[in-house]
Amino acid sequence: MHDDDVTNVERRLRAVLQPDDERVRRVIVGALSPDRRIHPLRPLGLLVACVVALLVIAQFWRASAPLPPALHISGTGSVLVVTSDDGKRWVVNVQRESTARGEYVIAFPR
Amino acid sequence: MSGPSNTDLPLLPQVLTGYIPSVDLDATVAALAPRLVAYATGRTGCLSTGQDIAQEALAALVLRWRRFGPPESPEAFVFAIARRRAGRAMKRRALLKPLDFILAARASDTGVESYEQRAELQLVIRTMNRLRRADREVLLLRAAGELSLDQIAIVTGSSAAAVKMRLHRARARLMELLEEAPHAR
Repeated sequence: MHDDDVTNVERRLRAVLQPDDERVRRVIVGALSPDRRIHPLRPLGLLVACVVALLVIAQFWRASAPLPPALHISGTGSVLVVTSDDGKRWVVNVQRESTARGEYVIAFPR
Repeated sequence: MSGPSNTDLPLLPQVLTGYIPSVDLDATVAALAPRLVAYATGRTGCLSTGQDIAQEALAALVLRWRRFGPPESPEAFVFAIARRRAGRAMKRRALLKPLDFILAARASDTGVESYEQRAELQLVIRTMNRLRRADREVLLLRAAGELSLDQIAIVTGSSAAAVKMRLHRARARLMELLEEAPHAR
């Protein structure tokens, strides 16, 4: 069989894929049209799709981000014990040099 | 004294060729359109996408032709563009697959006809998808695009020998697969 010959398989493929005349006519007219330009709604649609995609990604990212472990503060007097959910523990000895009220300790995991 | 011979002077300065509209442009577009639509439909499995790709490739040819004159091979020019755009369309479709239920609703609302609704096409495309990608490409360019082996080699950027080998393998494999298919004719 010569390679430039058209086989039955190709004939069948060609017959199946053959477009109708009206569609071909539309393609020709569209291609030869002198005022052919990008559809005005196309960039807008792309922009909307991008924004939606970004929102979805942000939502997934927020949902999958690990939460910081909760801290429990206990203790009496000037000694504070900060216990984390993952078992870590910090003991804070607050030296009261003044008698002013309203002093506090902020503990946060690194 | 002898004047310049005919061979010394170009018939038409190269710079002017782009400004002279060729009478063949319309005929070339008309001849390429059905082949391009068929090829792009085979690549994407969707008639409306195939139509868009064919139209864009032909519009690029028209633009090129009117500005700079005809390309060396209009067939290779448009099929190379259609091939790239079909590849992008397939990637886009894979990305949007999760939104298929919305797009399907839109398509049915606008009455867009899908080739996939036709059983014969569905069977052939499903079978074609079982071929190797490079083999499928060559077979489509040959069967739907009606390109010669040399033109396929230019479009795919491979050697004529490789094209010949892939075409031979694709034909044999597709025939085998179509015979295996339940409703093969």
